Amino acid sequence: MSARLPSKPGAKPFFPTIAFLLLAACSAGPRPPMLSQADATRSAPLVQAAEQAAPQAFLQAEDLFHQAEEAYNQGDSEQAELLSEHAIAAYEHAVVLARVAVALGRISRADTSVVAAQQELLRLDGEARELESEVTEIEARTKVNRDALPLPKSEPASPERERARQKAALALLRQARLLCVSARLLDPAHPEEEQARLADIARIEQGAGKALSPAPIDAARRLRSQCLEMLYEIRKPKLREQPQSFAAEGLLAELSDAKLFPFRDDRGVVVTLRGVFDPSNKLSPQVAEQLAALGRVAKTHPEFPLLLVLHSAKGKPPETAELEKALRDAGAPNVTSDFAGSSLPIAISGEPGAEARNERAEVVFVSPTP
Amino acid sequence: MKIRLTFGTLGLLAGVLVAPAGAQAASPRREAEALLAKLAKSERAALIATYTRRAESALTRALAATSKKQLKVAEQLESVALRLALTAQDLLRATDLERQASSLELQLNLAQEKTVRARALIEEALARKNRALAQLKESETQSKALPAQVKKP
Repeated sequence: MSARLPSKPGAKPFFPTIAFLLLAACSAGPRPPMLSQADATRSAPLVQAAEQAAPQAFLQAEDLFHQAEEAYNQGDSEQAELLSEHAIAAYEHAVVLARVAVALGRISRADTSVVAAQQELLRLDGEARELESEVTEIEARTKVNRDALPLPKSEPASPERERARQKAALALLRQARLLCVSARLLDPAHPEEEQARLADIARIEQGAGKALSPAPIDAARRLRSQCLEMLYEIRKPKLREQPQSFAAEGLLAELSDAKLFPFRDDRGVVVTLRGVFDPSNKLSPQVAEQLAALGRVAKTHPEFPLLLVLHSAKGKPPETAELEKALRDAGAPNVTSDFAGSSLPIAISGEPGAEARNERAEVVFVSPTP
Repeated sequence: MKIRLTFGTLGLLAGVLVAPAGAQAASPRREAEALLAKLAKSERAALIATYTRRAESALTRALAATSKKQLKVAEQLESVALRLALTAQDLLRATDLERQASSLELQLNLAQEKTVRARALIEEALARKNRALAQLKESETQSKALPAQVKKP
């Protein structure tokens, strides 16, 4: 009885091992399918990725999964099943929350980038406008320079040639006059220079009218260049103030839409009206309508003064008051008229229909920018 | 004895005061049911149907467990139902945010395209400017080369 088994020094550590084996034997039942499913879910790539984007939700799911495993190890399959189900739902929730986090990150990055891109666009737009204005100014300057280059001094020629030169000189003088008048319309506060040029033009025109030989072709060209330069100098500050204030583009579009067939020249935007007067020398209804339309457009573009230029085939000045009135009645705020006579014909005199083509009125929207 | 009575009274009082407050606190079941009712009205209910169906099933099982007096099981199932309902709600939120992100990214692409075009326009304008400057220089050289008396009227 008293015989006891000798106690071996290494026997004690076997007790926990036996206890563990007993426990393992209890939980060795079939693994609940839900627990296996939870295990598979937690190792899915999307779930693993959620650990980074939604760490808190992922940890909650992990906690539930570990609780489920513990319950299984303790032999509580029902609890393990329930906890596994909850763990799967929590993993799925973590995946969805990760999508929310990723989307929020995308929004934040895109938002910042959109703002930066828009600011960059504004800066580039400003730079482009400035460059455009510089180019326009340089091109205008070049044009003025080139125009100012005189042709070689014209030598006396045959009477026939001189007559042709005489006509060309008169045309150039008329163009110069219209350019100088345009300059005055844009800058009415400083009329001195324009008046001096206009006086020069009138003086040379008188001389040309006397058909003196040689024709004042060189002087006429020079005066035209000077008037063009004056117009350019007046426009230059406005161009610098508003580099992209190329309002003539909008005006051109508006007039084209109204089927008035506008075109551009050095003065601005021009609309030509034909058949202005009917046989009884009254304003034709069609032209009256066109003038009303032009007046309405002018009303919406007060920065463009109107220059009404009448061209006649015979050189006799027609009555302009009725035309000016039609424009003003439609709302045109600033109308000035000028008579170009027969010096700027479109068709060669004597050709069939030339007279009808040369009899015309031009409504010029004098452009404040080049 | 007196002290014990006082503690007992206090405990009873606390029980009376706290119990209704605890009863009023939203249980997982109530929260889940309210959320599911709200989600059922969503125009995109089909998108979250998998989750809402599972949540409803968990609630039904919880009821069954309650009737069997398995209160702990019922409580756990209600928590699962709430988790699934919350997942459904967050899924709607995620799709909304993803759509918003895509829209912003599209906006960004457009802005970047415009920026590229603007840079190209600037390059073009620079080239034009250089050409215009060369032409201006040429015209000025020609003008300077002329005798003074020819230039003046």
